[in-house]
Amino acid sequence: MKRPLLTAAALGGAAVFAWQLSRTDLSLRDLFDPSPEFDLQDALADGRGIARGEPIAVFAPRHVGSVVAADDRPLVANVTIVDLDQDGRADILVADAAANRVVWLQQGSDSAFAERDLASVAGPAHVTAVDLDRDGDLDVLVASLGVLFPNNAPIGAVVVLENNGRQQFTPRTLIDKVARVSDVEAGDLDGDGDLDLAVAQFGYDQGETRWLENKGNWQFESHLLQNLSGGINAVIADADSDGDLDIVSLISQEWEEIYIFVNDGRGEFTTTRVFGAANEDFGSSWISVVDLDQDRDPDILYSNGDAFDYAPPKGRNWNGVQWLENTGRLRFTYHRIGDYPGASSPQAADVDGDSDLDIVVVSAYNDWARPTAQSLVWFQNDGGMRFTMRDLANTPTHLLTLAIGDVNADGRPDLVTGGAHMSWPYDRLSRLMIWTNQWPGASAQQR
Amino acid sequence: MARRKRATTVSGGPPLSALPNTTRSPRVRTALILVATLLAAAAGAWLVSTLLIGRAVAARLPRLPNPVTAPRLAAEAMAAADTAARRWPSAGATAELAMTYHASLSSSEAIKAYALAASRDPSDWRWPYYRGLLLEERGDQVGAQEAFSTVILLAPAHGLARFHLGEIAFKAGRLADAEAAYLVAQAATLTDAPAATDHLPPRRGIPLSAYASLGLARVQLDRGDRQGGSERLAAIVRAHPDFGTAHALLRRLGKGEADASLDDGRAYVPPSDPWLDTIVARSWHSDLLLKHAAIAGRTGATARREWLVRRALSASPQGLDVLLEAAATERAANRLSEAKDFLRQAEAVAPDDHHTLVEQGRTLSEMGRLAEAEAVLRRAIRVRDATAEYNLANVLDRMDRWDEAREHYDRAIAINPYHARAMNNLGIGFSRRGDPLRALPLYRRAIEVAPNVVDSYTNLSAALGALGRFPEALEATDAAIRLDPAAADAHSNRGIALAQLGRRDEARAAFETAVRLVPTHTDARRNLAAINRPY
Repeated sequence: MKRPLLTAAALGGAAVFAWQLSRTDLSLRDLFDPSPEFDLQDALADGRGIARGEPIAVFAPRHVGSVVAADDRPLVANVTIVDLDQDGRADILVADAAANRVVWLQQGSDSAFAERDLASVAGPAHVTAVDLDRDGDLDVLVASLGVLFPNNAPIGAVVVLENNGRQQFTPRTLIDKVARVSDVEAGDLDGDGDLDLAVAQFGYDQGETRWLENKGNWQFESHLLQNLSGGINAVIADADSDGDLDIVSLISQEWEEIYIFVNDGRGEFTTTRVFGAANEDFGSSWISVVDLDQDRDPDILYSNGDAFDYAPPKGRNWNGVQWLENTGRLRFTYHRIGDYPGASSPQAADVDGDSDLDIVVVSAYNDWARPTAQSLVWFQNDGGMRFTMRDLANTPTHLLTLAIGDVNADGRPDLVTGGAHMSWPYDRLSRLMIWTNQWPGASAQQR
Repeated sequence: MARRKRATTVSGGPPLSALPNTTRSPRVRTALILVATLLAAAAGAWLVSTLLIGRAVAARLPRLPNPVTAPRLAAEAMAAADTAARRWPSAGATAELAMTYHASLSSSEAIKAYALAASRDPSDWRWPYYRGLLLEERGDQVGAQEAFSTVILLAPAHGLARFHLGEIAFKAGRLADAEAAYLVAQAATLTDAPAATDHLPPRRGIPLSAYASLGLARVQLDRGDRQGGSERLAAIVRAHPDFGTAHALLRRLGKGEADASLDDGRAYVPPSDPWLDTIVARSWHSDLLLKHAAIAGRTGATARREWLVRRALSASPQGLDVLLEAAATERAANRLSEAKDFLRQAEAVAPDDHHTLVEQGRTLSEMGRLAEAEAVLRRAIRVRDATAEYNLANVLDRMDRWDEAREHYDRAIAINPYHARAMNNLGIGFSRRGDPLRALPLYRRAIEVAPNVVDSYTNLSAALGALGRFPEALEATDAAIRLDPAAADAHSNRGIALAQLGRRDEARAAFETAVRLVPTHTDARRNLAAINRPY
């Protein structure tokens, strides 16, 4: 009698136990091992990124350019590292939206930088150096918003500062009276051997993406690609690895989408949306196109941290950095790298010299009332595309733009940052800073 | 049977018929014992499994965020919900913790807690729904899609979940899936929406069906069906004239039905979500409250905006953004004195914030306290800021200190070469002082910079009229009226130009239109009387 009873009891108990367990997603092992180990993949999958690592003093900062006074409110929209005078030393180009000027920081033989105004441009948003007229020197290509803050007026322009070979620059307006221009980049889009331009026009409600066909003699024919507002970037890259150049564009505002305008090699484009956030406040802020996983196709490194959806500007808890892995045939897989309020201008480089690409990011809109809120961080790659976020700086605040390059010619990637102090507090100001890489043995490797 | 037979044989007792009728008692007793044992075993198993599962769930509860960056009240709410859930992680307690994290903008923790709540009560669609909202917010479209699909399995008529699935599919380029989801969302109603929260006033707005219809229009456009997309957008605009995004899309297609002024500066507003409202209503995080206050402001839901701002003030009484939003809310309600008080508090928090000083100067100016406004704005212009310069110029202009005003208008334009309002005001100043010739280029430049501003054309027409250039003045008024047929000043100026050109009947009609639009329009009334007077 006892044995059947016990059997029945055990079976009944087990059935109840199993029924109870089946109503959860727990396994039997979970019940007897209630202290789950930290699961890196789980942490990544649930969007946390990796646990924050200890800060490592990688970069030594110093201010460059004109001195910032207490009542100054620097508004540097963009910086780029380039040897503009081709003297073998890296210089810095600056889109200074506070002064409505494009500025050149020329590096001298003593590693000091002399600041020189190149031209007056209203609301310069992006600046890059390219030999547009193929005369052997570098011209300066400028995207002009007109004004930095939202405006529907047709006040945008694309301006080139033509270099006469002696670093004397003459402004030429290639297009103007269009929706505010936020980015312009050069590449041969129609395969005719000269450089055409890809243009992102943020506008406000009436933005556009277009390309300008170089017809020679500084004449450009405009071709509209799309008329969505909020264009931030129009990056030229061979996104589908077919040998011609495509345009990768980031559209913010309520769209929050990334498009690839796929080139047939002759300047005919078909439009493909490769990512879109269904969160209309996602806050897309920047893309870089880079082979992040080094598998010989371009991926998209992407930050969301724009804070102007609601006033006053403030970072959001969903802001951060992600990469879109190119899996071929214009398909991209989303991977969150980490949370970072106000994230902007992510750039990839091998910061620590271990041959994989790390990511450096700035923030213009972190929670500055918190003294530990970071304006500059890097995500250290463990070689398997798992990233550890490491603090770099909480001072200065409000860093909007970042460039990576070997400024001091020591073979290691350094940083240049630009401050954009659009909102309080104003106690840790900066305009332009160089962050010299001190990691032993790191080698320069970037987009 | 075999057992009974064997027992009878072995016992060798009296015949069965001679025994009292208790032969079933042992069987009943056995059955009872069996049932009791089973029940006890089941109860024991239930108890043990419940305890073990509870312990396992408690161990999987997300750790409290460290460091806690949320405001104090939000941090306290999270700590209390965490304690309760760890004590006994029932489905309710786990869900409560998840919602508290959600309301406190601790999204990672909320996502994890919602998953646990769903595992404790898989029949409740709310937990995957909220989880889906958070995953979507963070750009995890795959995770969000899974979550919303779970919602649909549990609540197939859930219109908002369908809409979110449509959005995710559309963004991923799965147009057929998007279309199917939008079609269901378009027909869905919020029949099972939660009761309105006790305090948070509801948000009026565009219905979900219109958003779904907008999604369908985008699907059509993506498929190259321009005509169908345009027609659908036109129908949305007709039904919901305030739907800025629909206007914007329609106008991008080059369709004349779209009203440019409606999408200018009109930010997107997400569809209202009564389930999300239950999270917002319990929040003590000023960032979440202010976000929804801003959305309420965009939709004209004044009571809701004020409720949210008041709650944000309770949560973060010293928050600069909260104080500025409180001031903006008071200003919007024309409670200027209260607005000024909030701005003074904001100044105490951030004495060097020129934006705060500009707002304070504007408010004082609107209150007519011009000397105080000037003092505040002079502090604001220590920073190179076009808005500060413009507002100071305005105040000085109103104080009739034209030379000083001019200087600051000029500075505003030097800082912002596209400051159309400064150009306009500067032009008005010259016109009023009998120098319309200097005003002309300013108005023309203002029109070039901001071609949709009616006042610039009206001012230009007045200056041209003052110079006796009536045909040009007429052109300017016509341009103004094309932009805004209800612009009474433009009609009045048009009447003047027409009268000067000898077109008396048309002039009379223009003055009549101006008076009809604004019955108190002094100039138009006087001119109408004059033109009606016999020679």
